[in-house]
Amino acid sequence: MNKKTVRSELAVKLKQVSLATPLLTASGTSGTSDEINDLENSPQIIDALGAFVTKGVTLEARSGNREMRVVETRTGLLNSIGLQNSGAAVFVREELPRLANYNLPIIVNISAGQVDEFGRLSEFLMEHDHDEAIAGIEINVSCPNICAGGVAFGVDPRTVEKAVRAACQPLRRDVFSLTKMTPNVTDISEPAKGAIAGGTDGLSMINTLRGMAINVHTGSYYLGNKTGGLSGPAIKPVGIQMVHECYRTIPECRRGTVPIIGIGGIATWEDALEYIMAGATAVGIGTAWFVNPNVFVEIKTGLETYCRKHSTTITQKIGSVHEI
Amino acid sequence: MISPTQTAELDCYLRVMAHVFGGDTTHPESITWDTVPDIMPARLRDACGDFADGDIGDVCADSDRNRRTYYSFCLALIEQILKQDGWRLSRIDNTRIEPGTFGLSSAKGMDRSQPDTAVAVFGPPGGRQRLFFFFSDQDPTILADAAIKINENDNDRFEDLAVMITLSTRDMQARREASRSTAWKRGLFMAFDQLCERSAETYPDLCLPIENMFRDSVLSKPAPVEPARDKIASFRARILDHIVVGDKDSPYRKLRFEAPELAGIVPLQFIMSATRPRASAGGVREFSWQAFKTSFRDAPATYLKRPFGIHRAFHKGFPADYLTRLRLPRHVATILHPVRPDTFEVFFKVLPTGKGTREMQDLKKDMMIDMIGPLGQPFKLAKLIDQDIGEVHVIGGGVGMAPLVYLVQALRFCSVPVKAFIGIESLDHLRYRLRHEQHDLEDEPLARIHAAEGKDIHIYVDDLLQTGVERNNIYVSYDKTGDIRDIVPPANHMQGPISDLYRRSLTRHPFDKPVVAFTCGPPPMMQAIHEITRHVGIRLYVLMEKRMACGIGVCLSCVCRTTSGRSGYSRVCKEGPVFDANEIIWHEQENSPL
Ligand SMILES: Cc1cc2nc3c(=O)[nH]c(=O)nc-3n(C[C@H](O)[C@H](O)[C@H](O)COP(=O)(O)OP(=O)(O)OC[C@H]3O[C@@H](n4cnc5c(N)ncnc54)[C@H](O)[C@@H]3O)c2cc1C
Ligand SMILES: Cc1cc2nc3c(=O)[nH]c(=O)nc-3n(C[C@H](O)[C@H](O)[C@H](O)COP(=O)(O)O)c2cc1C
Ligand code: FES
Repeated sequence: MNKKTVRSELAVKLKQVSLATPLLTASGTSGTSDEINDLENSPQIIDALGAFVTKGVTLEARSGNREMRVVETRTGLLNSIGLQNSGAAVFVREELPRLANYNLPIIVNISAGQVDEFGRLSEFLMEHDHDEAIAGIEINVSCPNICAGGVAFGVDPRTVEKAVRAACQPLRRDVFSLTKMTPNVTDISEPAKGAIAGGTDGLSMINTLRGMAINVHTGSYYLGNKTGGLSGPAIKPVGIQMVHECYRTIPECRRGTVPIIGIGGIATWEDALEYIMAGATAVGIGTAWFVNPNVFVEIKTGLETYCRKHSTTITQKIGSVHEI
Repeated sequence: MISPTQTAELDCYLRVMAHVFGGDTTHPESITWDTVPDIMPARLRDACGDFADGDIGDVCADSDRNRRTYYSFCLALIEQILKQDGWRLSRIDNTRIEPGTFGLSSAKGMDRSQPDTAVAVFGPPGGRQRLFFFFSDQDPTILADAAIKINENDNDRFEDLAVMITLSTRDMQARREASRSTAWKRGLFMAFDQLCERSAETYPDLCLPIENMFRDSVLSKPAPVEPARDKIASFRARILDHIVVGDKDSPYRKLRFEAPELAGIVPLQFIMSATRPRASAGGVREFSWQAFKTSFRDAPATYLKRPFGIHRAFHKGFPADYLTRLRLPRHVATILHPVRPDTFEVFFKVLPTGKGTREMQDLKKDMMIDMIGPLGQPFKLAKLIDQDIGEVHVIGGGVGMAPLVYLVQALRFCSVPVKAFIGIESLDHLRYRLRHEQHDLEDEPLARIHAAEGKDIHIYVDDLLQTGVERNNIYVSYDKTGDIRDIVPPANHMQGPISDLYRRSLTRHPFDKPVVAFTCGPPPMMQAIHEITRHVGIRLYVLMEKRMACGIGVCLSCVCRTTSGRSGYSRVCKEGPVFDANEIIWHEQENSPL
């Protein structure tokens, strides 16, 4: 649970949990346990974070996709990691206790291939989280890299609703839920409404966009999995629009009862603020931190300076573009 | 009843402990039998009973004497270790140490009249190299002066060396800081805890308990906060030189840069480097057609950093070829540390379709480049060297040889015999010339000579010679013939795959002493080498290369199929890049073009 109770211009609230800053790690980009502690500036990084979002956890261990799992594209990254993880049992036994060292609210990103599997996974986590280390779960209904038939079920509002309901049902009272939305849809607000109907406390958007890269020198695909998910600065405008759209069209988002975590391509404090102005309460940063391990610290400092200069707070800026 | 010798020994232990524990702050009175027996050799324990608690404090009351006893104790330990290499104590300055204490009977009758700061001198059998030992709690300016004096007398012969013994590893690390090493030029360092650990092997009765005591107490005491050096730093390095290696079409480049942040990097660890200076950060800019056009043309093609091994490291005060002259006693060498390096080189190949390495061709002197490091598991070299190996083989294909050169540098520091096998396309690619007008030659004495004589330098070959590897222990195989005659002996080169040359060279086995090999290069080559080493009983370590995104273990893109990894995969950037070749599941390595 959150042991930092900082009152500052950066503090935001996700349901009952207050975050010291609006900065979150994006799932799958910050490690399986306490890798951050191996960095020299880990105290500053952890200080800059409001919460830690884990790599995607599945009920059973997954070895992930075959090799050539990443390829860099212009201002972006295509990945097909394929949710490699040691499974929920190892997660609760070995990884979760080490994550607790961060002294941050821990949000566990969960993935499953079927609706009822979400329920079982969520139940398993609750049963084995003896120290109540889990502050929230993030229901990933959108991973483009594992779903059979290639269509993530995050595109269908009814399926999303069922998956979210299944995942939320076993949760402890004090554990909140986020639903990680896929951008590979025509209208993001439809599955978002499904997630809200299913009982989600908040929305995370966006996951990666489906993409592909071909190596013209060899004439074959770059990725072992052929297709992957695109992240990084290349996708930011898509994410901004989707956050904006949900905030604009969904009353719960507008009222702040269903907060949005804006994710996708954030690399500077301006990018983060852009998401906040579009309607995000907090933001997740993934790919940028592969490039710049100081990114969280730099963004925190940037936002702080901005708030002081304009005598404002992050909370006041949420969705501010809609007031115009 | 205890004998007078035993009393003297007990006395010595108490004083050492008082010095190590107490320094100037705590009171020796606090030492009681509850703690003392822990550090006593078994043969002395029974004798302890004759001392009462009160006596102990009395014995240790004189802190000056405690210190001198500690000095003599250290020297006794060093003497024990050096003996194994046939070195002997040849002269000792008795004014600084306590005569009559155990282990130092050889000190008796020495000339007491020289109030030198140099405390002890050791010499190898028949050789001229001598080590002078100093203690870190002596006046630092005197120590620095003494070390400088030794240097001046010695020029660059490396026959006399100053060694500072510090009370703890942490203390040593602080003193080895690159920035402070200017005052202790060319000096070497040793820490008391490491000394105890090493002596324990030869003198178990004496030292093991001391080592434990040290672990539990002194090391865990809060000391002045020093940044943990093995943590991963993210920093900006200054480019010092960019050298094109090879003929004019050669794709090989050498980048020399300054990065004190990498001082703690261990051979075979690596860095990730940006391939161009960082563009100014910014969000969406106002649209201008001109800016739009240029932004498309100039839009950086790269986003991620690129992984590179460290090719060579340089220490202030240590010329690049110091290892050809430095002959350290092997048993002490593993716990001796030179000043910290602050300048490094990477050797890289510009890939024909490589976006990042092509960008790197434009890197110039004084540009500041973002890097992170040290990355990867630090390979435990000291442990390897301790195993009394007969020789080490390094087998590198193409740029794969680059990080192995730094490994050889470290191995040679500990006087380990090395054989090197270099596989290259054409020797023409590895030949280069440095000119005074273009390059700073200060750290390259060989380059200085070569340039003066108008001769070419051969990367790898000359680097290895600089570290003290003998010419007839360097082997070269190539695809295209070139002028190779005078570089290595005729029997040491051939046209064809490096694995054939390696197999051919292994005529004499089984080996008298264990042989360990390291290889880095294309996976099929490493697999072929593994086939060979497996059959002749050589332990092989491989350096794996995989595509990386983060370099710090969080993204799971650099995974490699292994028998040891979780879910059957190990992260090259975290668990690697060095793996025992037997752990690699070779048939599942995908040889997709990287
Ligand atoms: C631990 C480690 C140490 C290395 N040390 C050296 C060295 O000392 N000298 C040297 O010349 N090369 C070294 N390499 C390989 C070097 O990283 C690649 O040649 C370089 O990344 C190619 O980049 P590029 O942008 O030109 O190629 P592109 O093909 O344009 O790169 C696209 C992506 O693929 C990656 N990539 C391409 N080739 C390789 C490869 N062979 N290995 C890993 N990733 C690759 C790039 O990093 C980049 O992310 C090392 C690789 C690793 C993993
Ligand atoms: C290597 C990698 C692994 C990822 N793994 C997951 C995952 O396990 N679960 C998930 O919900 N999202 C995952 N994502 C998506 C990110 O959380 C994020 O939504 C996306 O990368 C966009 O943000 P960015 O541009 O800041 O990276 C992953 C992204 C990357 C690059
Ligand atoms: S490069 Fe990201 S885990 Fe190794």
